[in-house]
Amino acid sequence: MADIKMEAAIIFEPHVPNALRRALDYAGDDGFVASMPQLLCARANAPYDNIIWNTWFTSNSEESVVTTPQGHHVVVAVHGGGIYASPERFERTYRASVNRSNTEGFTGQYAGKISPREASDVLNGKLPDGSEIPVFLFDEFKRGVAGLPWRYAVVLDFELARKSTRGYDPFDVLKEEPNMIVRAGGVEPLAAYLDKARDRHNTKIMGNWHPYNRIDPDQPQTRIPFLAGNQGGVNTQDDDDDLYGYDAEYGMGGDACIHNMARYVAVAPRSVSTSLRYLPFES
Amino acid sequence: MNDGIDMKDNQMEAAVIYDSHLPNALRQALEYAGDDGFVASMPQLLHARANAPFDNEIWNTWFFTSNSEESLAKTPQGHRVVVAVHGGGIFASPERFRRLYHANASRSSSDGFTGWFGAEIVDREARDLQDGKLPDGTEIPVYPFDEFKRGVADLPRRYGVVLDFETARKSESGLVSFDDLKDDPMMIVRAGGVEAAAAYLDKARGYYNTEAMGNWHSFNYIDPDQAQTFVTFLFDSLAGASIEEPSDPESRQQGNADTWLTHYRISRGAGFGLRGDTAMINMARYVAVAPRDASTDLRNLPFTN
Repeated sequence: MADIKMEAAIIFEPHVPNALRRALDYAGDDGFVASMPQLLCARANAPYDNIIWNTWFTSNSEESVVTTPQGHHVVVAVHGGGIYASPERFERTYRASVNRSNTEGFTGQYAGKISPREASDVLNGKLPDGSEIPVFLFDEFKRGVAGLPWRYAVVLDFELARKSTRGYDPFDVLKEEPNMIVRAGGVEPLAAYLDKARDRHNTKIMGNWHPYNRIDPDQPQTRIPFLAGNQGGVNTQDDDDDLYGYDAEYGMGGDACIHNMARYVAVAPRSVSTSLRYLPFES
Repeated sequence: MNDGIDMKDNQMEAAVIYDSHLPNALRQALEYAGDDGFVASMPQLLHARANAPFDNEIWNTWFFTSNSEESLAKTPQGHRVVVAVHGGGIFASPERFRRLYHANASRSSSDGFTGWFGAEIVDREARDLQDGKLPDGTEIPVYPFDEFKRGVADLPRRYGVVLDFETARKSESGLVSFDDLKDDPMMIVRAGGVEAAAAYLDKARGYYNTEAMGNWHSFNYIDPDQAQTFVTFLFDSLAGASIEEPSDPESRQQGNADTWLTHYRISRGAGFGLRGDTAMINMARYVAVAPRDASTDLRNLPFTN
């Protein structure tokens, strides 16, 4: 068993729940589906010709808008699987009644509506699968948390998140940007990622997107952040909305429709010696 | 350099492609293989096993689907023959499987399932196959069995072997001793030659620690006048566990029946060895092999500090 090592695999499906199901299957009990900090960590340590830089990914992270018992709006980011940690939760959203008054299903801008119970629980680090995770306030998180687990949450004041720039910003600005700090897993990993991203094409700006200026914060809701990327990183600082998608490298998106295709990265221990990968199939 | 990607780290890498619907598995396998790779045929699967340690997944997965097929056809002179194709024959594409699946289920249909869930093939396909002409326009060498048995140097990845139907029919179907299998025509064709068969059988005997191994065909009970095709499967169970259990021959026979009677399921108790009698509507587990650039793969990137 000495040659067991963690191996990552790309799991793509045109339907998020199917992709997540396959990714969780691959990860098993001893692996994980990569969160946004983990995707950025991999990029920060990879050469630019690696596939991690050259396509887009779905993160196993989520950002929920909820209201505290005191009536304050906050954003709760969970890395490593939160309310939408299971394919079944996505499917519940997809199959909910489309009546506007429905308490489940999609918001008008295709986030996933969450119940008051889910919102209240996630604030306290309680997840639907029974897991309990640490929840850090943003100020504490920004100062740095030693030994972060794979799965944790960060609570950010909604107004702070809303006032975060949305669009393309210089890298130095992004290093101080609250949403980016949360998405990257802290100040230091964010700086490492941004430096690497900047140096790829010596670009000046990068995209950072959120929906908080245009949603109803009284409606508890969740979105999944996506990490953009395309072959060669072309159009890295293009701010033309028409170029969103395969042709645009627009940074980190937190405003994508929760009904989507998905490309996860799953990581799990694999035995190299018992794999058939390098067997000779021909003489 | 190619589009900025350094190709120096390219090497052939195999991947297991499983899907509960055979055409979907084949499509994924062909996509993985691309223009420079291949979907493993039965000789290639056996070659890999012959060169693999017993704890490798090539030995410990309970079935693989080969990219090989065996067709029953008639020569222009009216002789019945079996044409085995390795590397993709009539059923080289997912679309051909779909045509089969969507065919009229009437007994008089000329391109649907046989009663044993082989695939009916049309006269043109059967005739072209004997001439080495495949539906995708490819032309492949076709060797008479006697010539093939003597040995063909530098066999390509894709080729055919023609075997007299009576020879194929008399090939023992079931559990056969390893020694007898070394001289068995169907085993020789499936393994890609006498030497390849011997190498595999010697290794398999060590793995199974038995005197016999399964080698199954349908030629004793099908209608020999109906041109038809079966894809060959390589069966096993985790660490060969089912070889001793069930040991009751009747139970094993039951497993055998399950293989073709429950048309959308391969029985885990169906014995072990090489089968050319498995339903054409099935799940599938192919092995696809293609050049991959390890340096641009994310497999070994650090996702955590």
